[in-house]
Amino acid sequence: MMPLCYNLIVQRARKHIFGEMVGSNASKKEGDGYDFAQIRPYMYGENVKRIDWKQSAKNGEIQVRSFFEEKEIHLHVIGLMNGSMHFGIEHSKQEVMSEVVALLGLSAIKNSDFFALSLLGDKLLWQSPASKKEAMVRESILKTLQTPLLGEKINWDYIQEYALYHIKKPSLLFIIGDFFELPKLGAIARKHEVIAIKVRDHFEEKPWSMGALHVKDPITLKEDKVILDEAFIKRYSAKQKEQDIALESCFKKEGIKTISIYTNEDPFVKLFATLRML
Amino acid sequence: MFDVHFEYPFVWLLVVLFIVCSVWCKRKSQSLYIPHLLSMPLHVKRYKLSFVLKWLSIVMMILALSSPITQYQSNSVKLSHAVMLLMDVSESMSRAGIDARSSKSKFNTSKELAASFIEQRENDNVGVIVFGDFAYVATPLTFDHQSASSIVQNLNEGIAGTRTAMYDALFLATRLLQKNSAKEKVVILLTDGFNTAGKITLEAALRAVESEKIKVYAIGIGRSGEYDETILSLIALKSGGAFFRASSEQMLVEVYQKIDAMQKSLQKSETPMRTNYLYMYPLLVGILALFWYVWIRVREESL
Repeated sequence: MMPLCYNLIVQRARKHIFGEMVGSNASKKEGDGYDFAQIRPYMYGENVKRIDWKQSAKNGEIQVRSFFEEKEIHLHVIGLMNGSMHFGIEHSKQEVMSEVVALLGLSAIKNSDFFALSLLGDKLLWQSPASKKEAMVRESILKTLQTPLLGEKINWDYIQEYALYHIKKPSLLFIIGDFFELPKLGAIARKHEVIAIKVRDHFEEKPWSMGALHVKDPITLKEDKVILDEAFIKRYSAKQKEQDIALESCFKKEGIKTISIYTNEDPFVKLFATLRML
Repeated sequence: MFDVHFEYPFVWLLVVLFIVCSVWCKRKSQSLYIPHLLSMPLHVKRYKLSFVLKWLSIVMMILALSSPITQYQSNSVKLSHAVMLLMDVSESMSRAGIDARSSKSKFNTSKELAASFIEQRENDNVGVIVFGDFAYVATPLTFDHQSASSIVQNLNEGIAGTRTAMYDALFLATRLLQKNSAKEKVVILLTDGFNTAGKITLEAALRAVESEKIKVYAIGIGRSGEYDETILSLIALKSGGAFFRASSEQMLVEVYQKIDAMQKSLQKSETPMRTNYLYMYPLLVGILALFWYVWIRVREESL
C-alpha cells in the first residue's frame, strides 16, 4: 500500500528540481569541462587543442586556456532509521526525511550523477544500488516512507563500518537523522564528503506544557507517565541545549557541514539555501 | 491491655481485588509516541508521590471498612462497694479467747483481722461502727483505709459499754449507707452474743436493711450457743448475705477470705469488656490522602 503522502512528496520534489533548480556541479579541479578557469603557460604533454593562439602571440609564449573539470558525483544518502524518527507535530520526521531523499535523489539524476540510498538502524534495513534512474529514486522515497521505525535503534559502530567498507567510492555523503546522540563521523568524514541533515521537531527541543501524559518511547517501547510542566520543560530543554552544543562542536571538529530542517519547514528551501552557501 | 483486632477482617480481600485490577484493568487513555522524554528521570518523583497517595488512600479506607477495635476491661476506680464493719465491743468479747487454745481475746483477734481486711479493700469505701450499750461510728465511710485500719487497731474492749446493741448498730449502718451511691452495699456484722441493749427492734433493723438492699455477712464468734445463731442467720438470709461461724482464729481468717472472694467475684462480673471503635482514624487518613491525590491529578491535568 502506497502512503498517501508519497505522491505529494515526489511531485513537490520534481517541481522544485526540474522547475527551479539550475546549474550543475562544478569542480574545483581543472579538467575537460566547459567552465573557463584561467589562461596559463603551456606545459609539456598538455592537449594542444587547448592552446590560445591569440594570447600566445601577444605574450610570445605558448598559453593555454584551462577549464574546470566536469565531475560525475556519487551521491549517497544514509537514512538513520532510529525509532525517534517516528514523531512529528505537523509532519512526521520520517516524511520530512523522505522528502529530503526525494529532493537529493531527483537533483542527482537531473545532473546525471549517481544516487544511492542506504537505510540503517542497528543493521542494514534497505539499500539501493547506485543509479541514475528516476525509478530507483522513487523506490528509495517509498522505502524511506514505509520502513517501520518503532523499536529501531541506530548503532554508530555499524554505520561507521558501513560507510567505510560498503560505500566503496568516495562520495558526497548525506546522513539524515535527528542526531540526538553524539555521532561517530570522524573516520567517515576522512573518506567521504559528509553533510549531516538534522531533521527535528521543535517539540523535541522545547516541549510545551501539556500536563500528565502517558508516553511510549518509540525506541525502547517503554511506557510511562510524564508530567510536562514548566519545571520539567526547563530542565529538559537545558539538557537538550547542552547536548546540541556538544553535537555542534563534534561536527565542527570533524569539519562536517550541517543542515537543520524542522518538520514545520519546507525542506527544499532550507536544503538548497544552505547547500548554495556551502 | 489494648488489643487491636478487626470486626470484619474479610474486607481485606478487597486489597487483592485492587492489586489484580491495577495489573489487568486496561487504562482508558492511549499512550503517545514521544521520543527522548522518558530518558529524563525528572517526572518520577511526583509520580511516585501520587502512586503512594493512591494506595495509601485505598489501604486506609479498606482498613476503616474492616473496623479496627480495641477491647479492654475497665479498671475503673469508681466505687463499687461500700463496706460497713460492725464490731461488737461488749464486755463478753474480752473475756476469753476465740477458742480454748487461743491466748488472745476474741476482741483482739477480731480487731486485728478486721484491720487487715480493711487494708485489703482497694476500691471499696469502708466504715466502722462499734457497738456495746449503744452503737456509734468509729470511722465514717472512707477511702483512707490506713486511717480506718489504725482506728480499728486502737479500739479498746468495753469502749461502748458492757452490753450488745446489735440492732441499733445495724440500723445505724443502714442510715450511713443510705445516701451512699455504691452499687453494692455490704455490712459485716461481727458479734459474740445476743442483742441485749438498744432501742431498735429486729423488725425495724431488718426492714431498713431490706429497703436499702444491703447485704449482711454475719459472723458469730465463739463456740456454738454463745451467740444468737438464729437471729444472725435470719438477718443474713433476709438481706441476701451469708452467715458464718467462727469458732477458731483460723476459721475467722477463712471467713474473711470467703467474704473477700465473694466481693471480688461480684466486682469482676460487673466490669464488662469495653469496645473502642478506631475506624475514624484510618478513614480520616484515607480521605486526606484521597483529596491530596485528586488535587495532584487535577493540577497535572490542568497544566
